[in-house]
Amino acid sequence: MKLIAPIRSLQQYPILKESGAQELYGGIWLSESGRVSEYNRRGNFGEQANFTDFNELAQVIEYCCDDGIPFYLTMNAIYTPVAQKPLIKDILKHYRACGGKKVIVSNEDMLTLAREADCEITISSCAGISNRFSAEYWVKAGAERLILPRSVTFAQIRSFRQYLPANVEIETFMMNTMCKFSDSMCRSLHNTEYGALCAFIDHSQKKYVLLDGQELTGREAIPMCTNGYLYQQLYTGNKSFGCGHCALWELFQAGVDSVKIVGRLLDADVLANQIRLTRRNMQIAAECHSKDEYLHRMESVQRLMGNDICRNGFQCYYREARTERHA
Amino acid sequence: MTVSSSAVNFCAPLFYPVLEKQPLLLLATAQQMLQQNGLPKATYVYIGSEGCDILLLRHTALFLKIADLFHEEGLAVTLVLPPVAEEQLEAVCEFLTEAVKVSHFDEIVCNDVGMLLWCSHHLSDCKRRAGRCFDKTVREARFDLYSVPNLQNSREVLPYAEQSIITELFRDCSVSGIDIDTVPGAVLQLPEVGRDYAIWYPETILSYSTTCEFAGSKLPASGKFLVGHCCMECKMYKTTVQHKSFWQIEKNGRIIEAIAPQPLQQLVNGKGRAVVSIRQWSEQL
Repeated sequence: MKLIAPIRSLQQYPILKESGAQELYGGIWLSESGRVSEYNRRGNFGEQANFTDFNELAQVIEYCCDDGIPFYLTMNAIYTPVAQKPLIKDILKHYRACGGKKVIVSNEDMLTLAREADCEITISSCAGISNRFSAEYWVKAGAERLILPRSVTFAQIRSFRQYLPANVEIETFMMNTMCKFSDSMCRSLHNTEYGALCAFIDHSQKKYVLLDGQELTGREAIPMCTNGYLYQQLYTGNKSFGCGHCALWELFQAGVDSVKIVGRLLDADVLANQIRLTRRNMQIAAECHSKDEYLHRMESVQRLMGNDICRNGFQCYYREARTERHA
Repeated sequence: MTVSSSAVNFCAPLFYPVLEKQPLLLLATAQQMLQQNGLPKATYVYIGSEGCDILLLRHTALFLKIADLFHEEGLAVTLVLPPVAEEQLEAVCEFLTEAVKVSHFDEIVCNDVGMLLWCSHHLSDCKRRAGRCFDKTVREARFDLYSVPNLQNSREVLPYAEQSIITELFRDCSVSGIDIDTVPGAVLQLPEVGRDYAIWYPETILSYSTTCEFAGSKLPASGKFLVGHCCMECKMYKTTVQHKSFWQIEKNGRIIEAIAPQPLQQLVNGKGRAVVSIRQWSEQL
């Protein structure tokens, strides 16, 4: 199992490499592509989350080749407008000229363009692979790696591993951004100018009503409002952190090929600390003979991320792992 | 208004208790409401769940029963499937195999690639439609999307029609029709692609969650928001977002929807099926 981490500049490279990143991924943003109609799910963050210069990207890819670190380019918008295709083709052409080959995509049009550019295909979590038939569809379309959604469970991973060809790699989430909604289904603009829909709803006042619009009684309102309050806290602000450390041993056993630290906006120092911790826990998981042994020996994330991170399990990517740990 | 046919949409959990007790009364009321609002009498009825595979599986007996009942009333029955998670896959496939054998389902609306492929291989005699979840084009309710100046696709009224998924996957799966959302403010000119389009009204899907805000409302934290642990709170409650939005936003279980304020008549200009939920008129029920 390898660890994949985000990168957005040449300056970040030595820090990420030294901390133990084994694979890197990142996007490129060109000013002419605009911040609203974006092609890599972080285009609207512009230079805050992306490379902005092909020369710099080429340099990073060259270092990656020298160090044996695969690099993946994010082109994972859930939808590619027809008008955007010339721009995409141009980006892929430049990427190939930089020496890049691996591309992360989410939709059929982007996949077709990437294949035309002779790229190796990874399917993003934004494709929303929810079942094995969906997974098989993408594999038949040429995918060499599938990134499973944040919501994936151990049972799902084991099933995918059982049904997919052995040479198809599986990547799952390990640290950072949580998301209330499914990446593949969130159609609202998701950017700095308008904010994300989930945050918009969190910041708005919500009202629970009966389905016919009638008010709830006090007895009905208490559990629903409690849920509502917790859900509002969930994945909001500093609680938007997600973690899969308790699941590392299970992920090893399930045949996961790579675990992802997300956060294309994060500083290299923050990422480096997370990479070091994850690599240490990956090492422990590799040495352990049982889940219990791993859960006993693993290094807590709380030291790095704060004490309440493990309080109620809402920050867990794999809640079943935590439930078992705390049972 | 030029829709070639109407369908009445009973997929929202709101309708399940009424479907259990008084399905024909509900149907008659819905037909009356369609006519009162200038729409043709429904020739199709949509049942199932668009948003939750757990909800679907907990109501399979109901769907089988009312499919036959509506069929006897002379309606074509469309079964709507949600995106199906791996854990529920076998149960859903089992249900579908049984459903087309013993009940009268004329169409199945699939909302994920995997189920569409499975249905095309295993239920080839039953027509397949592509659900709204396949349409990934930008949707907004917070402001008028069409006023965003640099959104390159803002003038593509139905850009979805040009996507590879339609031209290739839908062709390979012999998809007979495509379900789409109501488009804000625009006159929707449906493309002539030889497929039957159906426009859902008045709800537009903005987002969808793999967890559920309502689930586990009476459970401790360890059981909250997990769909498998729910008490089907979505059959009782919804959340309205109190904000001066362009369109009203609601959370119905795992689906976040916007409710179009304008009448359907202003939206459709061309042939197509109107799939109308009578939720907006449900206060009259």
